[in-house]
Amino acid sequence: MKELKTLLIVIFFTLFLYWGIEPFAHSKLNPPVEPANYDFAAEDIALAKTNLEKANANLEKAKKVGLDDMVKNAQNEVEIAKTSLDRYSSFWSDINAIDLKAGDATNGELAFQASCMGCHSLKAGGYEPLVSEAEGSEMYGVNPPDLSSAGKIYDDKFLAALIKNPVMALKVDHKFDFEYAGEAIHPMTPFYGAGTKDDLNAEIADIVAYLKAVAPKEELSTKAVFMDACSRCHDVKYDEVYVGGNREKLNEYMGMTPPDLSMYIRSRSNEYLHNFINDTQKMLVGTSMPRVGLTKEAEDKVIAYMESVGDSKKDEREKISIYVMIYFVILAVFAGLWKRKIWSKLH
Amino acid sequence: MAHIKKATSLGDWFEQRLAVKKVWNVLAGEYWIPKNISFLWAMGVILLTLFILLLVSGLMLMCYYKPDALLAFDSVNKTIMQEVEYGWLWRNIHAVAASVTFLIIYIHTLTGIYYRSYKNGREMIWLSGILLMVLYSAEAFSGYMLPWGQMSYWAAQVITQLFGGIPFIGDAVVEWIRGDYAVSDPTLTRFFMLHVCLLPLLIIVAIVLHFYTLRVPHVNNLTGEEIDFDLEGEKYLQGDTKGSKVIPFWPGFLAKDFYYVAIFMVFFFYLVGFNYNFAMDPINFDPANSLKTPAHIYPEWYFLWEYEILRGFFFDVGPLKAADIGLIGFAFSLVSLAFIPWLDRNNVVAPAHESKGFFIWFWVLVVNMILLSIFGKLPVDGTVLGISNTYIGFVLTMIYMLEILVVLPAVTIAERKRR
Repeated sequence: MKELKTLLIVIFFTLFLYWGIEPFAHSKLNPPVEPANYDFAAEDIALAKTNLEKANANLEKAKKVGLDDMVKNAQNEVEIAKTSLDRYSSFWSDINAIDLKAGDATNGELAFQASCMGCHSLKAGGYEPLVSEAEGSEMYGVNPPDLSSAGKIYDDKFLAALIKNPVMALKVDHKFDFEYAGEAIHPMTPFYGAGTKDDLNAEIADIVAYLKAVAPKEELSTKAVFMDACSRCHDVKYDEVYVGGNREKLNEYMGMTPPDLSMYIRSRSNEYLHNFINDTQKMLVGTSMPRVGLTKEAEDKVIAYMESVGDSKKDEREKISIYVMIYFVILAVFAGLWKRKIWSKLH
Repeated sequence: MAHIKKATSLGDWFEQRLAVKKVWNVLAGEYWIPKNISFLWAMGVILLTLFILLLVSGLMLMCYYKPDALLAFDSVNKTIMQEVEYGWLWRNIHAVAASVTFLIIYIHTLTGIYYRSYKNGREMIWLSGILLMVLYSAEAFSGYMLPWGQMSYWAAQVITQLFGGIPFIGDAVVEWIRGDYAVSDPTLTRFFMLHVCLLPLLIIVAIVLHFYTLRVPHVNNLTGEEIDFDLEGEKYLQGDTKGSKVIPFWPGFLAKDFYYVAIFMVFFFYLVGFNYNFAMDPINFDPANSLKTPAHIYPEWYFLWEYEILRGFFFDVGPLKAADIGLIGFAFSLVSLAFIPWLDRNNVVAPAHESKGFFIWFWVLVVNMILLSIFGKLPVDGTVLGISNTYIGFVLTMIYMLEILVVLPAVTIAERKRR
């Protein structure tokens, strides 16, 4: 009984130490964020609001310190956060006005021919690429994607948002001029209308309907989703996946070499990856990686693929560990019996 | 020379040449351990088990590991973790065993302090134990570099830079240790040498020394009673096994230890299979990048309390820079426990709960070391309960210094005068 008390004390202090250096310290090192939200309108507005609150709190702090430069910077941040909130609010209310249900796929194909196929191929609909991968990346930095499965892996509303204003939907307005007026112009231009209908929004709904109509009906493999959504920028060398096209142009366009994702399932947690892919600016402010607008289902697949590469022995590990633990439980029983036998002569 | 006769059995053949029985009796059969002990006395054997696990898994890993800055990361994370059959198992065992070894070392050491087992002839046990702790620290640090991830690289950068604080020759020493102006390929290769050759050799020698130092004064017991081991051993040999206060190392002591080791291994393999992140920091799964400093740099958990002492001083005192004071504090904390037998000014060997002052001192020390560890991981610019981490770290550091250098002698002197 006395030993039990000692054991409990040892366990208590060990757990106290563990709690302090793992969950507690990690919550301080990586402050918690709102969970990923796949309603991108709600996500963007919530983040903009959080950023505004933070900027206001920083302004308060700066005022307390009382340094002019600090206050000026903090005020500037507040202005930026306010602009951002206004921009996203009006942008998404614009997008919400689009009636996606009314989309007509047949007319969407015509609009696609008029406005999209200059840059995008769509093999599933019979539209082969006009230029090679290398030429594509040389012209645009990143080769424009083939849209065969876009209607399946990306969120409908996100697609509409992307067509209407790529810079806002992709959340790269810190890098490109969102009004398409200055020098930094995103390679994908906003949709100006294809001339098939008078209403721009109706045409956007049609294009989305068309992308959904041609998208594959069967389940995509985890790797297929990853290849479609991520592999134009990211290598996964442990699975021999390498970006095609002109690497130098890609690096120049992104500002750095996009990291190899082989071990990202280990270096970032599952949760971090979800939050990051869902809203890149939430986790890494100022990153040039766009928010790509994957649906929850597609994002699960991307992360499952990363796990299958970076943690390929997970099933084996868990199975073997259970067996070994059972082995030692049995051994402990026998060792206990043997101990009792030996000690029956000693006590 | 001994007179060799024709052997009557294989055992006899060896007996005549190696005196096997005598050696066995010295090492185990008649090596007496007090009967009055708890599971805390099993930590030594658990540590030995962990050392064997480290040695075997380390040899397995060395079959595929490449000590080259260009190849190291992939040889660990691709070849060993994914391609080699059960390579992940060896790697997880190695990493988790390294981390858990320190947990057990701390329990083992604190047990020694609690029962005041370092006095009255047991000083050499204590010193060889502290030597082992320091060698294990060097071993752990050099091993942590080998996967060549971000934390490997930056921890090496920070820790090797510490030697720059040595007066006059600091910069030259740093360069000499690294083999380059910055941590790079030659640094990795020489730390590989330290990790797989020089340090393990020294550790094995120190383990043998540690066992040897135990042989004469024998192990302490739950009450600190001074036992006449020869007399009690004789009693045991004459058949009074129940009346004797001692048990032989084999089978009495080891029978108990095997049982504890088996239970411990269940916990160990739970960590290996399901909870290993504490032993393999996620940041270290990003390849080393000399151009990109991680947002937070912190050592493995078992160095955190020393690390917090290192950064505990944030102000200059006279000609001494804050960093230099921190460095002195850090160097002191590494070896501070070695002085305990002499800072304890009383000659009593008894569990802490028999002396109020010592008891309180002990638990303050334990809680202080845990808090130092926790704050060693927190970012310096943060706050806890509204107080800046920098100040808390400084206060904790001062408490540690005072505990060891002032409170322990004071408490034990008072204790001596009372009796």
